[in-house]
Amino acid sequence: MVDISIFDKVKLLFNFLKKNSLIVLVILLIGFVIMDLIYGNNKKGTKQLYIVVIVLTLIYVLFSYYKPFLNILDVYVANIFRLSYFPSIIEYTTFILITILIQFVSIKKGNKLIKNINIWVGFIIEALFIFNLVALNGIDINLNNLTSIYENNLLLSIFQLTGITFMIWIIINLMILIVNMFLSQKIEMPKLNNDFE
Amino acid sequence: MSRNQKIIVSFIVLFIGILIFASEYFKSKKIEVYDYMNELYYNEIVDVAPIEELEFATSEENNGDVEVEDTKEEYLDSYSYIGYLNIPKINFKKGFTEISSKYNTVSRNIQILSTSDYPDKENGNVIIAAHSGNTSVSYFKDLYKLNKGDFVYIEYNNTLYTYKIVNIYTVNKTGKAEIKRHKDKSTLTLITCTKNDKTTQTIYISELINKE
Repeated sequence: MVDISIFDKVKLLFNFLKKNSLIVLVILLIGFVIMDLIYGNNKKGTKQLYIVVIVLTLIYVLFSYYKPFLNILDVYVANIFRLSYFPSIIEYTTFILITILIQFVSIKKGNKLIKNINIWVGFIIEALFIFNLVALNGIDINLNNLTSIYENNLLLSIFQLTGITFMIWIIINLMILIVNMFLSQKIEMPKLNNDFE
Repeated sequence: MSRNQKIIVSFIVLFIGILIFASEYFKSKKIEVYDYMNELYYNEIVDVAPIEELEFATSEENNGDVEVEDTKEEYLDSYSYIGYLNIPKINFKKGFTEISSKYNTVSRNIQILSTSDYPDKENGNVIIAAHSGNTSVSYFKDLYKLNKGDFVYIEYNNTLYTYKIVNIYTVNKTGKAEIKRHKDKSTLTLITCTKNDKTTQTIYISELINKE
C-alpha cells in the first residue's frame, strides 16, 4: 500500500476520468436532469421525460458494468453470512448496541405489532448477551482471536444464535420499512374541510 | 382484499420467491463462510529452514546462496539421535536430533523446525525439513515419489508412530510456509524443495493412524 497525497489522488482520478469520458458525460447528464427536476419549474411531460432518461441511464450503467456490480453484491451477501455466523467481538457488541437503540426507539413510537416484535426480539438478543458473559466468565479465551472464540462450541452457539437472530430481525425490520414506504404513498389522505362550522 | 393488503401479500410472496430461487446460492455462501473460518482455524504459518534443491556444483557455479557444511569432518554418532524417520517406499531412514542440537540443521541432517512438536505430543505437529537435489545432504531427494496414502514412520521414545499422507501441496518459497492440517489430529509435516522448481517448496501432510 502506498500513502498517496490528496493532490495525487485527485490527479489520478482526473487521469482515469480522461480515459472514461463517456461515463463522465452520463453522470453530468444525470446531474443536470436531477438539478432541473429539483430547482426547475417543469411541466408534467418534461418531468416524465426526465424520469425516463434517468431510468434508461441507470439501466445502461447496470448493463455496462454488471460484472463489478454483481461482484459487490456477492461480497455483500458473503459478509452478511459471515456477520451472522462468525461475528468478531467488535461486530457482536455493535449488534447489542444497535439492539438497545432499536428497542429504545420502538418504545417511543411505532405501531403495536412492530413495537412488540422489536422489544421481544431485542430482549432475546440481550439475554443471549448475558449468557455469553456468564460463559466467558469461566474460561480463558483471547477475544481478539476469532478461532479462539469459535473453537469453543458453547460460545460458537451463543454467538451464532445472536448473529442469526439479529440479521433476520434487521431484514424483517427493513422489509417492514420498505412496505410502509409503499403503503404511505398509496394511502389517500382524507380531504380536510372546514365546512363543519 | 384492499390495496394495502395486496401490496403486503405481494412483498411477502416476492421475498419468499427470492429465498426459494436463491436458496442454493445462499447455501454456497454459508459453506464459503465456514471454509474461510476453517482455513483460519486449521492453517498456521511456520518459518521454514532455508531448504533448497541442491545439485553438485563447481565452486564457480556455487554463488554462495546455499551453505552446505562438510559432513565428512564431523561424525554424528547414532547416540545423538532421539528418533528416526522411516519412509519404506523410498528406502529412506534417517535419525533426527533434539531441536536445540547443533546437528539439527538442513546443512547437516534432516531438521526438526523450531516450531515443531515432538511425536508424543497429543494433537501436535512434527515438522521436518531437508534439502532435495543430489548432494550428500539432499536427504529428501526422493520425497517427490510419495503420494497420498503412503505411509511414513517415526520411531521415538521406544514407540513406533505410523502416519499416512493425506495432503500434498506446494507453496511459494518465501521463508514461511502455510501448514494446512487438522488441529484436532496428530500430524507429521515434511517440507522440501519442489523437484525441478527453484521457486516453490512441497509440503507433505500426514496424519497419525497408529502408535505401538
